[in-house]
Amino acid sequence: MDKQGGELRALRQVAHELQNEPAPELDWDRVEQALLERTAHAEPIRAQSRWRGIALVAAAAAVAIAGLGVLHHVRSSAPAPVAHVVYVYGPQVSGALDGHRLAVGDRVVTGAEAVRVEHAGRVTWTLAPHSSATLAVNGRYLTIRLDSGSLSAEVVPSQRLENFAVEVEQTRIAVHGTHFTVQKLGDSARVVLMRGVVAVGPASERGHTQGWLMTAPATGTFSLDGAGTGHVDEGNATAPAEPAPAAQPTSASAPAAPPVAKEPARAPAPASTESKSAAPLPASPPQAELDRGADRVASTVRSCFAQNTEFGAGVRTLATTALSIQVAPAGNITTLHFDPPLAPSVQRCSASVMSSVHFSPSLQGATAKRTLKLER
Amino acid sequence: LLTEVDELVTRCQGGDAAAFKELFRAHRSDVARLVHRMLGPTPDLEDVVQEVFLQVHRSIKDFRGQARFSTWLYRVTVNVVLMHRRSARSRPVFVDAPEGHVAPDARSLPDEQVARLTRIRAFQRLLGRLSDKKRTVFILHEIEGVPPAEISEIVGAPVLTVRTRLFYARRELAAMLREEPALAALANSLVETEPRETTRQPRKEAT
Repeated sequence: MDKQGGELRALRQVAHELQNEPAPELDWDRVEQALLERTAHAEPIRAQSRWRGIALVAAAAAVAIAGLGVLHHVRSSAPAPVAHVVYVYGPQVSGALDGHRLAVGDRVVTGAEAVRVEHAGRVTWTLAPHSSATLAVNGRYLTIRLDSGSLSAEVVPSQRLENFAVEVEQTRIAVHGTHFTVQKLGDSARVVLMRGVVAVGPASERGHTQGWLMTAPATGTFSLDGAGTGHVDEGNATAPAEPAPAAQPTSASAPAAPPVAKEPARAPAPASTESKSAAPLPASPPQAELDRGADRVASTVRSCFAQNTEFGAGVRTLATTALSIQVAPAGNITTLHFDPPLAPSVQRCSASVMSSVHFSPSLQGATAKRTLKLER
Repeated sequence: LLTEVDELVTRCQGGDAAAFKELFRAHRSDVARLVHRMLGPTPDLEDVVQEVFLQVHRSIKDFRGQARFSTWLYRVTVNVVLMHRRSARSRPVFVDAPEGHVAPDARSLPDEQVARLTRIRAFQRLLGRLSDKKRTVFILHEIEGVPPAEISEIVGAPVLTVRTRLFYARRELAAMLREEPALAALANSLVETEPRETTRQPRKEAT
């Protein structure tokens, strides 16, 4: 047999081995409980006559905004397994849309009137007339992608970093507790910040956006490539009563005064979730919070170890490692260090927890340590 | 002929929460297995499975019975997984030590199990390098055993396209195999252990 035959046979064998590998056992009771809670609060959108009516109206209204190029997302009568609902609001539709009923990929498109979307306890965002936005990320890093036009958001103050974000192409505007407007222009995004602090940077840095730091009141204009270039005009924010309608690049939305160029503030992430008058930051996050966060990281590592470690009848796998968790002043985890190191697959799996655990902002950050005894 | 699943689906479409729970219990393992195979080891497994059933809950009214429910469910699962992969690509990833510099911590495992696990992880890395389309059809066909005609319904592409993707997926995987030492060793060992068939063939007598 030639070399290539060996590769194909190896391919078949390893595919067979993967076929025989059992899926990890999940805590099905917990999954079921969480699922049923979510379904109880979210009626099937298609089942509700009000939204069905809107969808029908949408078919006609969408024709009028065909320039936005969203028709391919409209549900047809053919089976469409994943919901990509297009809400097109006509003048007869009023009231707010419950953000919890949106799924990732759902798009909101406005007609002649603005529409308000509420994520209770977290954020209310208003999409300007003739604008389009898509729910890009649900859950911890709630993110709306502004496809065209303009939106403004009122974010409930929170200790969590990046409680809400708007992405415009490759540029991310991440906020905590604040009030701001984002407008997509031709090749830039304009941010008008009325209250609080936002960080503007590359969309790839979801969870720890760094780059430009804006403190209210301020107006900034950023390129759509991750805010590689931009201008911030501090003290020049004008709070519109409602978001500006979708504007052409040449609209009168430029800063009133000549913009002041600033170097991107790479090092500091937003230091506070409150406005400038907030209390001074503590030296490090509260110990109880550190303990809770470290426990959560440790729990994830245990789960990753269990999922990624082979076992056989009568065989136990034991490992002991010292876990060191470094927390940046902004509250995000910057490093997980294992001494001695665990298997790469376990470490890679464990790394995912870094973006989901956050601590209160502090002056110096902190380091939390745990000795883990792992068993499979 | 109405099957038990059809009845459950019909009840779900009518808003019967108990039926949805039954449907979840009946299919959760299949969904978890497919998600695990498509994503590899991940702590997001529970979340993704939950997201799949949320989508089922939201979209089940669109299910018209033109395909088998299991086919439709696979289609939902594949779409949710692909969406998850797309959003995960932009998440921060941190690996403490470079790949290959850390020996797997599996000292107490029998050698063959360690070798097998190492091969599987290496194979999953190769799968992760395939395009979404090729990886999906490869996993559905080669790992899940779904026939191309059904995959065609799941991914919404003609059967011929499915077969083409399968062909190229196999070819790319075979080409990449040597880049993973564990898989290269397996391929070498298979070449060495293969009996040389030409020596077994009886010689044809010259006429």
